[in-house]
Amino acid sequence: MNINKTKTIVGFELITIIMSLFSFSYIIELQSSYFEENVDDEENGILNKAITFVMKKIMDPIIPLVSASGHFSLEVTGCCKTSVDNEICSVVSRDSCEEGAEFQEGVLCEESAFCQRGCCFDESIGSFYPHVIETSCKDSWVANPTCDLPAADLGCCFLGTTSRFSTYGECKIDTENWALSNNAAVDWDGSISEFVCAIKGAFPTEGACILFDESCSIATIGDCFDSGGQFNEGYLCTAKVLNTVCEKTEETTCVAGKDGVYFVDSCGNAANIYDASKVNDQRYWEKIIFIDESCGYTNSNGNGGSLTCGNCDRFKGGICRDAFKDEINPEYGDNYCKPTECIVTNEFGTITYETGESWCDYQGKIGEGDDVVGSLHWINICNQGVVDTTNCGDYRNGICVQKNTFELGDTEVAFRGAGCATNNGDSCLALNQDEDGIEECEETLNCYIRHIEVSEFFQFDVCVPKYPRGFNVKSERSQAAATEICGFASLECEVVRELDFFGSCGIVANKECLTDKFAEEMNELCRGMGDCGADVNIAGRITENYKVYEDGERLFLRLGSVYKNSVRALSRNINGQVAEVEDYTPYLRAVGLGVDFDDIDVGSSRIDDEFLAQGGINFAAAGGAYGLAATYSAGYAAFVAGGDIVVPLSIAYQAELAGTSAVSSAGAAAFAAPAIGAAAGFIIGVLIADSLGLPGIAGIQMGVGAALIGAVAGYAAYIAYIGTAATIPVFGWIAAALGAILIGLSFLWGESCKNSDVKFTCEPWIPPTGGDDCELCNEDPNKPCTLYQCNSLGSACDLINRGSSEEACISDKDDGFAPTATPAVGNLFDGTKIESTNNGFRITDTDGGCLPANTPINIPITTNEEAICKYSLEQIEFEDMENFGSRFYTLEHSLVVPLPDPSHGRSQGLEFSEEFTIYIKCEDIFGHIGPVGSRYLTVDLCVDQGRDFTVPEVTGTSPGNGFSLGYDTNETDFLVTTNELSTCKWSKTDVRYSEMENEMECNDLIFRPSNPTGYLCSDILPLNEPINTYYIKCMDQPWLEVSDFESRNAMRESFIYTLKRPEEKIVIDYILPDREIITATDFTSFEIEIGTNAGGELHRCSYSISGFETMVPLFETGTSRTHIQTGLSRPVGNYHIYVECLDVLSGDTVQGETEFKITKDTTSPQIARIFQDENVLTVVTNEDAICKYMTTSCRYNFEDGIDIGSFRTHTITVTRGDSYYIKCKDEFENVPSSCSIIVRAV
Amino acid sequence: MRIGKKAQVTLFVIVAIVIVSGILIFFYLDRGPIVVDSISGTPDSFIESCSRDTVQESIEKVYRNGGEIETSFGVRYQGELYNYLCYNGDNYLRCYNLHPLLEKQIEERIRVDTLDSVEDCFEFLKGDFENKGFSVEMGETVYALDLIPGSVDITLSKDLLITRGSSVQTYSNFDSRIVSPLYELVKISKTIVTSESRFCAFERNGYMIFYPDYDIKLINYDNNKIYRVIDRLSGIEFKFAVRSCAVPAGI
Repeated sequence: MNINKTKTIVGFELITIIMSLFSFSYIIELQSSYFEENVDDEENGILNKAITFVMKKIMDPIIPLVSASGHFSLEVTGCCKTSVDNEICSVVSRDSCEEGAEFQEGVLCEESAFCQRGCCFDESIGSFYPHVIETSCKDSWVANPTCDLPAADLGCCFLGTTSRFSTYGECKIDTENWALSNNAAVDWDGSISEFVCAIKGAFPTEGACILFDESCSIATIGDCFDSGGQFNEGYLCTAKVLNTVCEKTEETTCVAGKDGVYFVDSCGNAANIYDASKVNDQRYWEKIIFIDESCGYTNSNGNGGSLTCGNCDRFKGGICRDAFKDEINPEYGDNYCKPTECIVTNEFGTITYETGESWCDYQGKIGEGDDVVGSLHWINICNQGVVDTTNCGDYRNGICVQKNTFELGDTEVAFRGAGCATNNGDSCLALNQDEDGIEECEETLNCYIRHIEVSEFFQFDVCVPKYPRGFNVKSERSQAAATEICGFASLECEVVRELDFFGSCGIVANKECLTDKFAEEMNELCRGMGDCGADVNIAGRITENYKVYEDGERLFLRLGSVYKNSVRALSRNINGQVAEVEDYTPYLRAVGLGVDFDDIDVGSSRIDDEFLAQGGINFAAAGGAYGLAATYSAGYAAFVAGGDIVVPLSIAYQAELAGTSAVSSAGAAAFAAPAIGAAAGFIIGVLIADSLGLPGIAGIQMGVGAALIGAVAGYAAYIAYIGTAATIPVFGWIAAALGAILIGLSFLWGESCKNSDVKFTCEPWIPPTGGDDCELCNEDPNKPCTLYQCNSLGSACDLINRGSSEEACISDKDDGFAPTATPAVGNLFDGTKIESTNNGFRITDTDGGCLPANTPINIPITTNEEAICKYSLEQIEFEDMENFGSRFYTLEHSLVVPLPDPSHGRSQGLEFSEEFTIYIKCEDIFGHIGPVGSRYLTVDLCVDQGRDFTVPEVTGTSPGNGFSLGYDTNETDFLVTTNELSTCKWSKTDVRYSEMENEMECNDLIFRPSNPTGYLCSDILPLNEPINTYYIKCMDQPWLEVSDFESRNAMRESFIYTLKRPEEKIVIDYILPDREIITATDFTSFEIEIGTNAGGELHRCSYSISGFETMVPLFETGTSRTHIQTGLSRPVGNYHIYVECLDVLSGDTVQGETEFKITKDTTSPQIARIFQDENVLTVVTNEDAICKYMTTSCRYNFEDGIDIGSFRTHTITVTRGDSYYIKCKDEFENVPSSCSIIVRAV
Repeated sequence: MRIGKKAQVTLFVIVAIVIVSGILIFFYLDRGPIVVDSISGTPDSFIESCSRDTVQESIEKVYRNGGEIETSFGVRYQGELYNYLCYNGDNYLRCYNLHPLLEKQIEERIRVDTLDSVEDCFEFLKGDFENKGFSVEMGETVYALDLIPGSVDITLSKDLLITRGSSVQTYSNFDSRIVSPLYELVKISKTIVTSESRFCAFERNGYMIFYPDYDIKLINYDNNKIYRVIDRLSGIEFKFAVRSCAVPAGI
């Protein structure tokens, strides 16, 4: 290879590599010039741009904005009431919306009026359904998505010997059905928790109830009284003294809500616990005997499997079930205590779990970024002797956390509990953008600090996820996101050289960056981002997805065998490892979930001594049971308290409930943990809300995402296409840390020797070629194969027959042929055309001439089967070639690149030729590479050279043009980028370049632009006015001598740049609520409203109920000066809300606080006055009320009374001597249990 | 043996009495409770049984199809189509409750699904009786279903007048009851859907501890949650799907 050719290749690769990176991932630069300019830029919001980009990606799935093919073909999307696929309220393209259905362009359904959520209810049956859109409701509907209505309150409904947790209305209906009477008294208590309700239902005070026909049944005293029977507390119907027709039998039965096996008498009544030794013992058939006095009460396994004793305890190991089904023959009857424990055998041994225990299973090592590709977190529940296994979400979108003990009083009880929590891994990366990000990382859930140390000068800390999420290798959208995320680990190390004693250049810093250690260490960071870099799949197979370059030239640093073996070993399971339950309390408090777990009154859920004395379930002994049940109540309270949380936070509740599960086994002492996943979800919610401006979702233009998703065309093409200056994206997290060091080194050692940049590029993981391992996915019926798992096993693996009973992961059929590629003429950029050649094609301008320099062109090809294509400027091995566009098995491939100008290159000591050839090969999913052998698909290119007549263009600025800076800002760092290497000046007046008085600092080298948008110049701009205008001009070819000044091209028209500074600082006008809220329910919904003023155009507000340390963005903020958080639900009490508002453009903040009180009105209306005039009785109440009366007694349902009017004055036409039993009910449904007043007419 | 004339007359009289009695008995029996060969039992028991069978079939469909007679919008898993009770096609967002007041909806769905079949019961009865020479008059049908704890109540009334000659039988009430855990399973499903729509999840382990008579199975499938609510005693299950707060691959 001759030197000229090499230089050409180097020059071209510099451009293509850099531009590809700009197209498909952002890089983290480590160039000193860059650091100098950006260290303090954060306050200007520059660094935020980087994360904004990623956050836009997060938003992408919320609004599937566009399909990007070739250029940016925008498809109009928005909220559709009914799609052609029958989806209700989904964001789809207009074409996918059913004809005639309502469609709102550019709006999420959460913000669309026709998809507003509300409560659908039928109060007559006490049924309330939350989160219903109005048109789906055929009954009553109110815009209260959580049904915070008095009649929707749940309470304990007692129905004979059972109980249900229901609304009053449901209880009334159930009572009527149960009692077969419309007048049956409703026994409902809204103050009883679900837990206590369940227990009370299981252990009512019972006895034999003898009716007039001498029939007998076991009933409560109330039921017996209602049916007119004679109640004999504590007696069985078989008691001799009662002399009923009921007799003892040898039969047994299971009783709903109870664990034990019971004898049954000849009348069908359940008698005492089955005890084979007492089947004929009349004394055992006389009175009700509590379970603590029955057989086997102290049995440690709850009499599981016993043939003679039916004193089952499901928490200890037994519950009444049909013996016949299990082919068991108890001594008497057909039921027995079925064992409820689960015995699990795995590679590490045999473990016994109690019913209700739950635990995690993993596929390989977890944590510290080591989760392997294709692995999921699985949760198991021991469910009455059966292990129930579920995954926590494909792509590790959920993580399984586990706790093995909980505290019961002073005792620590072993009881395993697990839960699925939302994986918030992505938020860890975002923390690296923050000034205090690393410190925050340690406090942030599921994040940890990874220390990377290659050399003394190349070491840093990065916040990364403990459990990185996976990507879909067959989804273009997911791969685009993967490229961004993996790209966070693409870093440069500057190898510093200096003249040594003998006059030759020696490395004085970072020589380790030229060794395999650099690759291995960087790969660890890369793997920690997600499915990136050299990583292993669940089958133990590694693919290597990284590259290393030195000054743009490929450097073949390899991973050592020891290192690769250690990576491979990650696919093996580790005994006893679990993802730990973390403390989510601060997060929950921040959003006002009302889950102050420290303060939860466990006692309210505690069964009292009376129940224990009655011999209910032995909660004390079966400590786990208590923990489980009590915690379930707590968890339930938590989410009731949470109420209707805003959309971004909704995932928090997924996690919260998962957390409830986890804590449930952790017990009463671990109340901080119920929110296991809440915080995880919360973090995601916050990120979405904060970075995407979810509040302004409605206003987000769908087109915005087009450029972001246009991965095919790439960022360079985007710049070229839109032809306007963009805001410069800047990354600086690690850069800031290392910059100073390197700058210092550079200063000390001078620049007589050329330093080099060694760059590690971290790419998304792709599966091994072929499909030999596909079947592994189908092996475990308890862990059904998922799409993620299947695709990770091989590029030819595919999950077929999806949704059918034949769903399976199998290998595609190999046709045995390599893919063939042809030009995709339709995807060419304007101004170019294709001509066929012997081995490929040639791209020229439309006249057949050479292409202009520095103008991006697109090289598009199509393969006849899905393939990954690579290119090179030399005929080299496929493995060593560069990626041709994306690393994604697809049919369409394109490479967008601006061609270098050879003459410019020569003037800079680089030898380019105007003619060159690109060599392309493609590999299919089976590893067949085509064209085969030494053949390549060739693309011939010719680029114009000669004098440059084109003026440079400004491609980006930072801060963005028109940005507003802080009220207190007097000057700001300023960056400008150009499309070609230039020098730039600025002035406050629009004059010629030569007359501009302020010269900017431009240190980039040709083909070494230091920013994705182009060559960088910088300066400091003063801000004196509310609106500051600057005129910027640049001149190209700075390498030309002064004598060649005329050969340089200066911009004739200035780039007009403005920066704003608010005249007044942002202020908070008001915060609501600021006064007492009176409610009828234990929990009430309310909204926070904040009014802001002054400052810049865009304000965003956050709130917290715990303090300024943990702020949460309001749901509706950013679109106006009014900021609203709806759907908060809190119990009665005093509240303090902290508020912080940000003037987004200036960065100014202002804080405020408000206090208010929620009071429950539990007082029924009082009778203020009562008088009789003739035969008209007038009752006056102290508040508006509905009053009713009956003439029999106070023991009637309010609904059944005779109405005497609403408001405050009520009248009755009375009969002298009659008594009137009056009840009054206020708007909060407060009604006395007896009478408001009893009046006798005179 | 010689028989006297007097005796002969007596014999004839006796034979005549027997014949007449036979005829009378024949007619007498014909006027008794109407029993037909093809319909077992009385007309009311036949209608009750027939309507119960019809409703039972419909209930089975409801169990399979998450409250619908036929699933119109669901997710297919292992060859079965699971009806969405709560759905949001967008990622990260909570589901919309698609079937509010599910219990009422089910009552109406079953009623509509079985109305024709119930009418067929009457038509069959009518045809059968008419074939046997009876005249049958029928009035308007009043038909409703009610899900109540432990059973499904069928309220069915229709004036039914069966006559032949001067004999008349009238029926009007054909109420009956099917023992079924549908009410309970629907209530649990409602609890699940409510939780999913509010919190993106349902804590089934805790729920099963509270209510050990029910088994709740969950399958996470392709960002869908497939729920099977099972009455442990009868083994009957109610199946449905939810898509809520789906998280895509990557970000």
